[in-house]
Amino acid sequence: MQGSGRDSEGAGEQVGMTPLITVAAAKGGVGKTTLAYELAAALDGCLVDLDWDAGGATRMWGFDPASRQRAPLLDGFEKGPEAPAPRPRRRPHQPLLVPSHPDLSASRIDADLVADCLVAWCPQLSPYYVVVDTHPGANPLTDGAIAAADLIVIPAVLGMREMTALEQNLAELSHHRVLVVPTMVPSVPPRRLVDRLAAVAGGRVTVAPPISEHRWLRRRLRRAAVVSQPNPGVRLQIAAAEFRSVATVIKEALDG
Amino acid sequence: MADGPDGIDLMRSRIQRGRRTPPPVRGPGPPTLEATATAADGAKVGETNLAPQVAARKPKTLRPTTTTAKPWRPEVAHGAATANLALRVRQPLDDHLAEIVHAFRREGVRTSKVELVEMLLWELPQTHTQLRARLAEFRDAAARGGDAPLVGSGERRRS
Repeated sequence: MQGSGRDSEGAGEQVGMTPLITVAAAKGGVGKTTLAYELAAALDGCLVDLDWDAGGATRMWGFDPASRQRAPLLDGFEKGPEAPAPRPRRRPHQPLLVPSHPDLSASRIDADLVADCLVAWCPQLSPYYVVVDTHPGANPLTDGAIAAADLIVIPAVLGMREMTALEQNLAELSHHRVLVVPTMVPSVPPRRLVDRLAAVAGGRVTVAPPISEHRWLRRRLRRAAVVSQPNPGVRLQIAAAEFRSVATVIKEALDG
Repeated sequence: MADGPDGIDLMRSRIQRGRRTPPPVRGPGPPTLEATATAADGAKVGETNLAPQVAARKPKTLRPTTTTAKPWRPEVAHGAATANLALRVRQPLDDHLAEIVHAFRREGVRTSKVELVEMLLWELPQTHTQLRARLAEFRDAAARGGDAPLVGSGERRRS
């Protein structure tokens, strides 16, 4: 997918336009969903979940699409960009959510339609930011979200195979604005892989402040976003500060 | 893109922080063999730390035996078959064994509980008289509740 129409027109930087941030990665398990969820909360934005897996942001938010008769996101794509945007769901201390649906995996929606819908829906979904969580790998939904994005955020784990995947990912997205966010970074990161990440980024791509390896995040039961949970403990404050610093870099990138 | 802190620089600063050498140990230092002296043999172990002892370890001298015969020890070849003893020992002894293993590891000596147990078995006293004396001493310190007499029929006959 080459450079988006929205990027080339600079529409995302126009006054009154809601910037669209797509969180994407070629590999799974690198922290896309967590990052998208926390960024949407930190940016006061709306999270559009295009990941149809049961372990995605929709279930994390507390919405069970299997128990609902309607699939608002799928309906929205089928009605097209002229129709109103799906109404986002709202809960305290959680980001606004346009939930995913398992049927998205079997849908044959064109990438261009996805891109057009997302661009048209952005101002209706949130006055601030729209964050899109994607399914790993190449598929029409992810391609559409990438094409429509003002900024593509790629979470990157410091691992050998992950670096190879990131290298390929960045080569494919050479015409897009990309921000790499190192995730699950140990307290002392491996020098070899940090050097490799620096080489892969090559000065062309900005590398955001790292998100540390917070193992407790996987075991967490609360649905509130880390950045907006009331009465946070020490470790929650540390994690929230890291997510907020990434959000600040995104704001500076999109506003500046 | 943004003028904020670069993630690469932040991670490199973490690497630098991780490189700092730890401050010197104050006070008595790491656990010593003194602390690992067993109640079983009741012997006083030297007051020096484990490290100098490991460094200055000399080849073991055999215990003086009452007999003039050549001391016998089991041969434990590298590829010898193994047997599963399925031992259940009391917790303090197991903790003690773990402390020894970790103290050695801090000094760069790699060993294991199994190796230490094998070593203890290998260096059991050579004669039954010595072994009986050690067993009596151990029972005094850490009786298992067994009341079987230690004095053998031979000694009874002598007395």
